[in-house]
Amino acid sequence: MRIFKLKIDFVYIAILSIFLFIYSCFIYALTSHNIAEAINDMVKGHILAKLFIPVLIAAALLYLVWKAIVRHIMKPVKKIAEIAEEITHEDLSARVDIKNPNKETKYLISAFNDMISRLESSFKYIVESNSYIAHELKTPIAIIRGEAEIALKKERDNEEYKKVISIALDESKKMLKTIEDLLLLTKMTYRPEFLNFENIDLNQFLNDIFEQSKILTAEKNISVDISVPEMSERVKADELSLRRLFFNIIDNAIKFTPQNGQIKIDVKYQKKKAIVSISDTGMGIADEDIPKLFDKFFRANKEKNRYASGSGLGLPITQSIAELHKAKIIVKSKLGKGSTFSVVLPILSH
Amino acid sequence: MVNGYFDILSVCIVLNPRTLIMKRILIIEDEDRVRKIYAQLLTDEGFEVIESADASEAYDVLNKGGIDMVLLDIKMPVVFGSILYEIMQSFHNKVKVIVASVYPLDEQKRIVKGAVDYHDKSHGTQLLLEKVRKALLEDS
Repeated sequence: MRIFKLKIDFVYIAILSIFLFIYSCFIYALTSHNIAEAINDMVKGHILAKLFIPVLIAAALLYLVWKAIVRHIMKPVKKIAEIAEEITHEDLSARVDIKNPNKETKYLISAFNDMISRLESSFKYIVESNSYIAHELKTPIAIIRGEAEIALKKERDNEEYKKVISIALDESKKMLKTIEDLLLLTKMTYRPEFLNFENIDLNQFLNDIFEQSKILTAEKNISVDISVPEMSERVKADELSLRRLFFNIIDNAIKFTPQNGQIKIDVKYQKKKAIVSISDTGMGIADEDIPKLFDKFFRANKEKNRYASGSGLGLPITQSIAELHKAKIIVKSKLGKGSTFSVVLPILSH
Repeated sequence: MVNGYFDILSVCIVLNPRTLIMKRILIIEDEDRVRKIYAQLLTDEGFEVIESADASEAYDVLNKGGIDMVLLDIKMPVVFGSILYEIMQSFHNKVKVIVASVYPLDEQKRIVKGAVDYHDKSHGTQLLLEKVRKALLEDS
């Protein structure tokens, strides 16, 4: 291999020498007082004899300088390649860091590092969602299996069998909900193009939500009120997802509000944004728990989120929908008094 | 002679599964349905069962004494089972602990080091019962 490389070096030097020699001949002819004599010199080979060694040395030097320049330019690329080789799915924490890079290299490094960051967050999502799936699906399996095993140990009366069957049914519904929520969250995170954005009249949209909320809250005798400004505004949204966003918040409010409580939907329009606040008279959320509310897979990996119910993915899904609509969700709460979830949506200009 | 006699007697006690009957087991599990299943499983087998839905409640029970074994869940609200286990190592290190969680067994062993046994809750109640019996027989 090494000999082969050396051969290539010599070929390059020879080609360079030929070019240099032709160039020298031109210069010689042009600077000479008598062009005819100069051409005669060339034909007789006097010039070749005179210039052979200097041209060869110059070509070799030129080649070395060129190689050094290429090596210098390729240095950061080599470093990027080295780091790329180190990176595996087990450790995506490595980043390229080169001191004082030039403009082009800087661009290359930042593009490379950004790509690794995106990969890292995707892998993190896969690992966390796997752990979440395992945990959230194994618990209902443990319950269904345990109930069935105990029921089959000896003869039982019909009522006991019925109880076991209804538990199995209930747990299988939970499993389905977990799977559906997880698929939806993954879709929101990685395939947001399925959303169908349209212009939506917000007053009409929220009044519909209000009407349906009344049915949901009836069971716990919770009262629902709405206050909307007279003049409506429009937002660009995927109607189905936006409905899910508001119903997730309202569902949570119902779950954590005691019997005979209150839920209020308050709508305000400002210059460029709509603020829809949903307040309840529920148990409230401790300050330190508020940032954890929207954590994906929080329940599975850290501790049980006291405010999450069902699959525990309701609020992370809500947050993903908000992000896709360039909306923000602000949570304010007082323990024992209640919580307010405010959704800040950008409105369409008239 | 007297010592030898008592040795034979204690061997007899150990080998007789009836000696397990009076053992008192504390189930620490936040999932109501799972806890009820284990309570019924162990009560049916003649064990005395005490249930706790969280670590702090369990700690009060442990402090009262008389517990032979703990079935410990790992992921619980507020205080994790692994933290309770560490506290138990300092104050109640004679109580046998079987970790019962939905985490895979290697993960359980990594989170709670040195428990008597580990059980994956999805592997069924019969296996758990065998582990409980084995662990209780080992000590006496």
